[in-house]
Amino acid sequence: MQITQLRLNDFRNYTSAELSFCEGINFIQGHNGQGKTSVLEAIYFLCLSRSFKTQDDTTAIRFEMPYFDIEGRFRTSSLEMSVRTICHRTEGKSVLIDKKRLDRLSELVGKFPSVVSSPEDVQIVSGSPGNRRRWIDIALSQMHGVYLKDLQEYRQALRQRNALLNSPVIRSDNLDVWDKELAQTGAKIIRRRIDFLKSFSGLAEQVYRQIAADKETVDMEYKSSIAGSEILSGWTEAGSTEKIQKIFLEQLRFGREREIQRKLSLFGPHKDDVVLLLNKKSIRDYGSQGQLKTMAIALKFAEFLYMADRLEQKPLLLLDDVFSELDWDRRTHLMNYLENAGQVFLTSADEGMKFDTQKTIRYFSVEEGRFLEQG
Amino acid sequence: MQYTSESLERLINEFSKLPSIGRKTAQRLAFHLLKQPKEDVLVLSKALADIKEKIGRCSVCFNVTEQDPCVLCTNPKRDRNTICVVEEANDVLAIERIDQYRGQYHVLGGLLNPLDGIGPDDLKIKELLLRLNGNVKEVILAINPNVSGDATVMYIAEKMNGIPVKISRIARGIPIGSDLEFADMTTLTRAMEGRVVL
Ligand SMILES: [Zn+2]
Repeated sequence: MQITQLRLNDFRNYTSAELSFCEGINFIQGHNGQGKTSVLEAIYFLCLSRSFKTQDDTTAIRFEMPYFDIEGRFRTSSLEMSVRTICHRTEGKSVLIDKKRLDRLSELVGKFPSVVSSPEDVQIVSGSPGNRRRWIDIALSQMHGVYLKDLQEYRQALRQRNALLNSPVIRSDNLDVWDKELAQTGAKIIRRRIDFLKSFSGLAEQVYRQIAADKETVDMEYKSSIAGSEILSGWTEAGSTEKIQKIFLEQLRFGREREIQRKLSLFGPHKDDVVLLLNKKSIRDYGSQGQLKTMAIALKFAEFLYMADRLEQKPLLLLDDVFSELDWDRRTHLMNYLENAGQVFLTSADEGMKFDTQKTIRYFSVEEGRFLEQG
Repeated sequence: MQYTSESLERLINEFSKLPSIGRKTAQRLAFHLLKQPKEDVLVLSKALADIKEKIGRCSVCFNVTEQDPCVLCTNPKRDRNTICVVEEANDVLAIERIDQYRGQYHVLGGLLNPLDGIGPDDLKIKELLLRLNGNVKEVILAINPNVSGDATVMYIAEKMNGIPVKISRIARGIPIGSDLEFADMTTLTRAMEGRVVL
């Protein structure tokens, strides 16, 4: 899959811009704050109707403008289509595929798979658990439509249950069914996440070792709020979704008093975490700055390889300022991955950066929200 | 914007309060009625008044009716062994339209929904359980497959535990998130046929 053309209107510092891309590597050079990352952000927005820079979409609207309007032409092996996203300051956003408005934004997810690697990713490794949950949820949603559907059902059940815990009178037979509903939908989420980590961690280790040129071990453990402090990965070997559901329900029964007191659902996949281990130690607690950064990049490259292997098309690879802080050896290792990637977008402040590659390559430079293509 | 007639403006305002009617459609409807003969408009206004004066709820099945019990509950040709449980009265219409089901109905008047403050006591669940005397052999839950629907089904199934009545739910042939009301007839027919025992 590739994006051949992009149009931006009132997106970040672009008043209006049109660009055409090549099918290989698109290298966007510019000083900080000139708008090179915004191109990646816009492409990501078209693929997933969200930003990787912010949770508040309206911050991507150009200063004092009412909305942004962006459009891209996508080409897969069999068809071509246009995706347009309009985001209003007050009225929210809408997505049109070939001029037809989607009823639900979630219909978009998975149609145009993409993986972004950016300096913010270090938050996945060292930030709060919410960052890791978001990362895993977006990755799984792009690969399995049913995961996103389950996740939305779980969130609905969670909202309903929280409303009940917050109401003045709580009938226990009523809370019982919302316990079951939460456990039923939540167990599917937990199960998928554990299965993913099991098959993914080996790949992450492989990529980490290649970038770091070292023999470090990488492991991932799913730490679930439904199992106290226990690590879940162990008991899924024998376990099924039904078993997770049973443990979930036991935890809810056990913690009911506390949840009623706090008026909040305290257990479930919305409270879970993934522990990333480097050489058997939590990287979040013991990792050096360099190790955190390498891990952040390794996670995304491994995610790309994982998705490319499981999907019929190679995801778009968006690399925001990834090379700047790496030494020469690590850059070379990363470049090897690009040879087998599909379409790649790469930003850097480094003017003299040239590539030795078999792929087609197009250079852009950007200055104050305007483009100059350089052959 | 200024209207030259206050009555017209009032009518347009009232129309635009209705679901899925915008300002433009409201205006079109109002001007359409203005052109109709007086008798036709009076027939419409009487029909509107009647829905509040004559229509009530059936004390057995809680469907909308002008007589109590309703014609579905009193029709001797209808099977008394099965009760089909639905969320709202318009779901009864949807199922009657496929002309395949010949049993009784029970309208819950909503689904469990804590966000809207709806709990078991706000639904006609107790009344359903009271109907499960000797005659009834099967309860079919024709309830939309969403989170609230699932919770309501679980609640009813829990309460029917120990009552010797078969309980089934219509198959999930209906697209997730869409309403029974909008399901096409073939889908609904297949869903009724393919119900699963709980
Ligand atoms: Zn009746």
